[in-house]
Amino acid sequence: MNVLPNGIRLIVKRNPSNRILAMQCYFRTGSYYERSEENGINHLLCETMLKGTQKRTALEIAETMEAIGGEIDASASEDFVVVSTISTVEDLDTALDVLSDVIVHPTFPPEELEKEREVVLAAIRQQEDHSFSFAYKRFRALLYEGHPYAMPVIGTTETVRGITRKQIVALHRGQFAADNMLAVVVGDVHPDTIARKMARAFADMPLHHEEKIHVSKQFRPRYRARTFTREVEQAFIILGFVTDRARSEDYVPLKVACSVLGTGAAVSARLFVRLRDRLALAYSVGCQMRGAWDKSHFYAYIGTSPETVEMARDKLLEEIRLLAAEPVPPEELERAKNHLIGQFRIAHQRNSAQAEFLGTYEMLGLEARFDERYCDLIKQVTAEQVQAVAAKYFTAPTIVILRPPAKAR
Amino acid sequence: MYISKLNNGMTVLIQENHANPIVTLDVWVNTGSMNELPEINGVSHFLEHMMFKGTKKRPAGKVDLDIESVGGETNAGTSKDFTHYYVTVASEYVTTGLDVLSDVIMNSTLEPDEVERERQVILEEFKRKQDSPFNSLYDIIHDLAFQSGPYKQSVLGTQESISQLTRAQLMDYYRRYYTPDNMVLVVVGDVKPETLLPEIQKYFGRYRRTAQPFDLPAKPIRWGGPVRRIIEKDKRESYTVMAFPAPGMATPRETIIMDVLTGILGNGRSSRLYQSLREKKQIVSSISASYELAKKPSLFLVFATHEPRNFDAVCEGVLEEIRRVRARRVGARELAKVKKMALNEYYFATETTNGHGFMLGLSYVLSGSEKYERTYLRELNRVSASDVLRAARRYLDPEKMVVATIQPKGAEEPTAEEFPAP
Repeated sequence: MNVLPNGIRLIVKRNPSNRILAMQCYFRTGSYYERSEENGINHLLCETMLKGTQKRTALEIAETMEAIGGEIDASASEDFVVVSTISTVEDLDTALDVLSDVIVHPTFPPEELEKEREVVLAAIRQQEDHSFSFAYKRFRALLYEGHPYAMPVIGTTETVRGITRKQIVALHRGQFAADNMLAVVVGDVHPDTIARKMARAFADMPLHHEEKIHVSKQFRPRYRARTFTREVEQAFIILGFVTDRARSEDYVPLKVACSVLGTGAAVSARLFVRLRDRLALAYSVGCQMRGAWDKSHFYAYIGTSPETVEMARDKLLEEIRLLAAEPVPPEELERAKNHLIGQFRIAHQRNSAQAEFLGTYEMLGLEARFDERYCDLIKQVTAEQVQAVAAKYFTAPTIVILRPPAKAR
Repeated sequence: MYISKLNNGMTVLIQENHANPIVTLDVWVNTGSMNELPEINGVSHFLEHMMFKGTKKRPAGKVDLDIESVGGETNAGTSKDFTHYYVTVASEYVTTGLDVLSDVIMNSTLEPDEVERERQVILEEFKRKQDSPFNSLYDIIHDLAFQSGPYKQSVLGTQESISQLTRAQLMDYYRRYYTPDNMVLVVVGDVKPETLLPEIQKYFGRYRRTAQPFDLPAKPIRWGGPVRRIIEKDKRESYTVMAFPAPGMATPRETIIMDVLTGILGNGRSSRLYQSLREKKQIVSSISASYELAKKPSLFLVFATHEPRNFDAVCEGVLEEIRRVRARRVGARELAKVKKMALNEYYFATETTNGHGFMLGLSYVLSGSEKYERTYLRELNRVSASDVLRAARRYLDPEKMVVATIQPKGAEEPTAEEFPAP
């Protein structure tokens, strides 16, 4: 980690094997820090940020990046905002010029804001039209009730309608400052060169950011369940639990526990084998351990026939609870760990993915070094640890079910 | 790239890439839903599912286990033209990968119990597709655009055909098409061709070619447009797809010109459709164009999301841009931009071993040789403004446009209810 003269933290990972350059700028701001009446403001800011600067119109930003065959993107999450480019190393100067321009000098033109507001409202409607996003949004709201993570990153129809340009400008002024920025660069560039160019590109950025409100909450395990009805062909179930923050010592054992069940949709893991292969309850079944700055969560999902909802729900829970009841046999534990390590290596092939791992770990408080230590940490996890974290967290579930109305069943 | 043919007729392509200690092995079988008669529609895809459900020496589940135990991943895909199976493993396990993949593809047993269970899984996959607006529209638009032709049918099949396919039909199709001379093995990653080839020979070379695939009665391509189909569902937004005729691999240069034309109209934020419909007219929340490379003449597609009341304006707005690209040559700067984007997308796609493997396999299987992929960038660079104008006039005929839209039927808000602990 390098700290530039104005306080920007910079991580450079040199990769001489190709000509692709990934640059990502992270800011500690996101829906976690939003007041409930401004929910969605970080997301709306990101959408509007690429729509005009003091020297470029929206079209000029798009054209400049696309003329070099590059991409620029800004996206918000619960814990941070990231603005990123992908280009070739040869076009470093152009890409960095556009990247720093949208970060330091965006003008948030009023007509562009209105346009993006409509697009965000449309995206909210579209989330309602896809089973996973429909169910996951409601699952989070129920799981994290009373905590800022209950709010959707995209906001709600009401809050997005109410956000003003003035509020966006204030958020930008308050958080897009040098001491709140982490830059990650992966590609075939010399760390000194990139440090020098970055320092110059971001020279007129404000130095200090404004303090933010932090709201946290202790969660007592409590059973919550809700069913929603829409005219769908397939029912969809999400269930899960709140766990501790990503930088707690339970995080890595929880990753392994999740891998035993089936991270993503691992095909030799328990959920896939037992619920899909043996019981034919689903096409899509899996689970995910999502690390967060404050409180992480684990969830499992399954898309199943309306007739088999209860069975699928009970089987999912049974598999999850089994982790707490019995230690994972040695051979299976080994396989789950190897799978995690293999996936980690396969996922690191792209420069942009490498940058994303480094940046995300740093923003979750795990520190970029976690990327190097990950495989060793996984290898050290024991069956007892997996059983212990399962027993600690996988107790009373939050369950959300989407299913068709009774008359269609 | 290294290219070779085994004695049994199987083609082998090896691309070294030592950036990471990883290798992807990707077997392409030259068959897909285009080779299916209506009564067995979905058989290629059903078979793809069955390939992971047990072989003579590996019971169901063991296949995945052997790969995931060493940290690898397996997956497969079926399209209208091809079916492919791939594993990505650490390069030290390349032999395990070859062992498993060759066993799966050559020795699957299609156990009757497994067929029945997997049928339920595929029916769930079918329902999932029905709930996803653009995935269901993809099938609807092909059905509407082609009155007849190899790409009319869905890859997944219909609910009836999936329910009725028999094990005997699966086995018959398997024997007919899964023969080494109908396959291409693509290897990308941290390997040396000279040491790998004997291993490939050991695992794949021992299988003999079986009967040649039957030639199906040719399905003449008849255009189904112009037509507009409006479908109402319990949705909150409108999802629209528009289709125009597009060339196939019989005219490889035309397909590359189509890539450029697609870029001009609908790839990226500075593209014409995005600028006109999203930024200026503000009648869509998203819009993009795509052209799917295929053996036979396929479709040029435009995808848009918008409010239901804008449906007519969206159709008209797309047609306006189509007329414009047919009326005047594109400028030099715009052409250069689109070529540069296509060039970089090619580089970005080859950054991963499975991305690169996909590209090599796809080009080879669709065109029948490695030349298409090898000359792609050179041909891309040669595309002129006149080429683009001519292709737009030839293919994107406004009189032929086929449109399908899924729009909200004005359903009530979802209701919620609590339920007791199970």
